[in-house]
Amino acid sequence: MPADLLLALSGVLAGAFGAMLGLGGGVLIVPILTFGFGVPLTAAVGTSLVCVIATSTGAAAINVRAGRADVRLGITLAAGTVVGAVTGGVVAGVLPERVIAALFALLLGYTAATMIRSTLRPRPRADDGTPVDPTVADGPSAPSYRRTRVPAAVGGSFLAGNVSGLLGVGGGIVTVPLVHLVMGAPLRVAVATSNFMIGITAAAGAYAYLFRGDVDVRLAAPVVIGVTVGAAVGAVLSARLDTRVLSGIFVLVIGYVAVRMLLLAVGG
Amino acid sequence: MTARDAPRRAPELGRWIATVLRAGTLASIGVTVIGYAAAAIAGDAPERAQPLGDALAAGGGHAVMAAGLLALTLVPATMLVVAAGSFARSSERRMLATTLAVIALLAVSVIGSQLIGGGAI
Repeated sequence: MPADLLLALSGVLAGAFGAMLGLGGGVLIVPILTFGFGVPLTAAVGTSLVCVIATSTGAAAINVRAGRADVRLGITLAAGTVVGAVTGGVVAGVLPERVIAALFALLLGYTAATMIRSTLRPRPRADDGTPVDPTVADGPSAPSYRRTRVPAAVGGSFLAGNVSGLLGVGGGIVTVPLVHLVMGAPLRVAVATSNFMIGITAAAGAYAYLFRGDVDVRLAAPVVIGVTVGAAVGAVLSARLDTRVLSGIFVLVIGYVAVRMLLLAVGG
Repeated sequence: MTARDAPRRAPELGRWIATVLRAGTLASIGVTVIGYAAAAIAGDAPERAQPLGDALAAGGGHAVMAAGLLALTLVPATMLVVAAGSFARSSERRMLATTLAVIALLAVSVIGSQLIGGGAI
């Protein structure tokens, strides 16, 4: 199978999984490019950032129109993530790849632990047995919320931006708990707002890689196209599939990848 | 301002932002697809990865692909410009200032990346 077709299919897979599991896809794109196609880790991170923009902007359009994303909060926190992403992108150019691999392994371990905890938590159910999210503030009768601890959240956003710029992910793994747990926003608002911010964050980090020549356009183009298609497919499928099964498969996959990344970090 | 105030202005802002995000993403991916097809037909394939400026200057399908990817990275900034316009119309001065600050930070990241990376733009 031609390499470009494989790259595009990899993008479809990453985009679909990301959309179904509420991720930007970067945690899959970076290891696929690194271990599957032998792309240097720094180049894989840069390519992943461009892909994350594509998945984020598509989903954000839906969330913003539906009123789920707190646009004003997202723009405010983006001030922190943009500075962090630029910092991370610049630092990634001077850090040894082993260090980046080790950091990525840590991120994967944290992501896996978060997904396991989320999957094992029993879902609250309504009287008719349908699952409900008690943290949802949605619809015309939903209670409003107050944004609290905004300065602390902007500081936390700087960390999220660094994670994004260094490792080629969207940073949602930091911003969702930041907005939900630190600021007290409902979980659905936190996820939608984080998704809205991810595109801005990833764009800030991507420029460092693009202008440094770390993103191979020949490789990036089919992956970006595939990710865009995959995200659209994943958004449709996520309403029909039991994401707990997908989460279990995903945890196994990223667990394996985390071990490979650790070996890369140790072995050089 | 609390989140209670936001929904009254949200419908117009949300609509504009959603339109820019969707149209911008589709347009940039479309340009990338066109560039990919042109490069594939012409057999245009540089030997190595290049800084973005060099890729754009090289011309051909490869340059169109690069332009598409660059356009994709500019979609969030374009969305912020639209948001700033909306905040200016509704006299939300704090949000206008914040949005302009984020746009400025993005501009600095572009310019700084060019200087550091030696881009030709």
